[in-house]
Amino acid sequence: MRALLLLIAAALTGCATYSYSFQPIDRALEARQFEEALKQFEQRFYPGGTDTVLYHLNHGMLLRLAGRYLESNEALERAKMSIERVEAVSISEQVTSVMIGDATRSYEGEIFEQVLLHVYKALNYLALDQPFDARVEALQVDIRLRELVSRRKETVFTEEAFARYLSGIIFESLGEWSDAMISYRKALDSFRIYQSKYGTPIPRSLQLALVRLSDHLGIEDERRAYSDEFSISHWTTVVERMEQGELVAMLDSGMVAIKREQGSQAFDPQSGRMIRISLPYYRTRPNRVTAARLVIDAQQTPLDLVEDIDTMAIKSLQSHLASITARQVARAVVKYRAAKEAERRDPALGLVMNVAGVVTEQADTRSWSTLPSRIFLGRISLSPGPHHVVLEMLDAFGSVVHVQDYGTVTILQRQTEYLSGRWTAD
Amino acid sequence: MNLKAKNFGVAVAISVLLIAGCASGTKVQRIEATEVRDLSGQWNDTDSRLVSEEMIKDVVAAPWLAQFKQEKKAAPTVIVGEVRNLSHEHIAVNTFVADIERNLINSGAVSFVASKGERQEIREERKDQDLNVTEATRKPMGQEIGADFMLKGEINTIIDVEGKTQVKFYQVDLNLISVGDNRKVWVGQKKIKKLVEKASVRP
Repeated sequence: MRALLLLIAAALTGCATYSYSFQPIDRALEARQFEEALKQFEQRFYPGGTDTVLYHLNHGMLLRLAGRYLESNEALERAKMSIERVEAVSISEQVTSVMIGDATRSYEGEIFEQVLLHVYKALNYLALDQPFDARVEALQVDIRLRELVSRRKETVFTEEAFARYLSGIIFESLGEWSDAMISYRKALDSFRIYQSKYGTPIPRSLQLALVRLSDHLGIEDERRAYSDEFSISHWTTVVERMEQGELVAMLDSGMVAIKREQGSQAFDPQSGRMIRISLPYYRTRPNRVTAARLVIDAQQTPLDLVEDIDTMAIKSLQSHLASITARQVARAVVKYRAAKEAERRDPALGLVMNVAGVVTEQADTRSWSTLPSRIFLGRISLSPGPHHVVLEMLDAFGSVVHVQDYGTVTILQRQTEYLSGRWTAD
Repeated sequence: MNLKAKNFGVAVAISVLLIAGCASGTKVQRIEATEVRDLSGQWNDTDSRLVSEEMIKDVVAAPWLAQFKQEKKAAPTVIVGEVRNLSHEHIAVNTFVADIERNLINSGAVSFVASKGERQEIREERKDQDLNVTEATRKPMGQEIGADFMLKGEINTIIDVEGKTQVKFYQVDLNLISVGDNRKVWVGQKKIKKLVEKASVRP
């Protein structure tokens, strides 16, 4: 019986939490070896079971990093389908999660992850020069958010600022001015919430876009209000911009914070049993790149911070912590009762149940860990023709950490060219 | 029953469950191409077929065809332009456009010329023939037929969402535009409406 007990204990400690099993991939990413990271991932993980959504999300991101946009979109589409499937509450999973732990439930993604899924699909389509397909994703973000708002009966959402802003850029590039205006307004609303909650400023390029489009659509009151608030007296009009092309550059900087487990065990002398509580927490990962700028034909344009995913992730977990803790307590009761019942039949079996209960009490540390920690964006209108484009990544002191040279980029009149960069080292 | 036997029983029961869980292999069942099977509520083959059937019926019956034949004493030549997907779903537009094209060609009422992308490939072939093919079978350049009409269109959607329920409204508009003078000679429209309710529980 003792041997059996040891065996169970050994087997169960073998279930390392999700974020630990991701380490080889993280190492490859830190070395900026994207193909290697993808290879490591494909060797280690398989779709299926409760981590299917997570598999497709991470797979999609790694394929994108390797520049395989088509396959990345296929993976992300599968993630979308899987999310739809697991959103329905599973009765059997609910039962096991009460008995064993949260990590046994199907992962359906945090809301910000679900929104970013559409964002990255849209970015892949833009990289593939399929703006109308990117537009489809922009519309899906809108439907998704409407669906979530009506389902959760929450009025304020803060996860949508960048998704809305990108939608606006896509609409504007397709000449759909009123749709662009609506998206920019919604982006502004969310950025205002970001500003008051996290202190992140409203991106300058969005301020300009709001003035430009309200001017073009003849909404004079609104235009004046934006001009006053953002002190913008000069701007390039929509008509003037038609003579030019636009460059939109995005930098995904760093690696998003990962979930780790914080557990503590206690011995209850009264019952003679072990009790364990373990909760997930976010650990941010070091990232030197805190700003970026575009250097086009030796002229500098700073990029704006448009999404602080780390902060969003941490806030999101904080809002769930109450329910995670409640489930833990409920589980502790179930496990205690099970051990007591087993002990009544056989003291050794009671001990087994207690050990099993303690060992299986693991926090759910799953998250879309290949996301960046911050997204920067810059927009600049340029005269049609070739331009030399360089993206410089800067640290907190303003010195250049890394230079990404895109070489000569040809800008076409009335066309938007999208460039994206990724910094995954620290 | 002693404890050991009982444990054994439980173990057997669990194993049976596990094996049963793995045993279901892929099942294939052939169905008719016209059979309606709605799975996710998204745009599918049935929608595509409904649109093409409606459009074909409409475009052949419309007066533009008879008028053109009377004036020019020949079948009109049409080219397929861009059908824009402005909906919220990734829709394979080409399937119903190809359906329409095939029906019109096979009916003999209309002839189609190759679209922009296809033309390029054929021109390359002609260029190649110029160098490598016998005089008798060589096709000269500059003999292409200019299209009389261009088929263009767009797909739009309106979605109403409340929790797990969605009402999806698709509208497909196709226009036949006279290349010579930008006149719209035919406008076809098909509307499709669906109510989609997502599951709220699963096993």
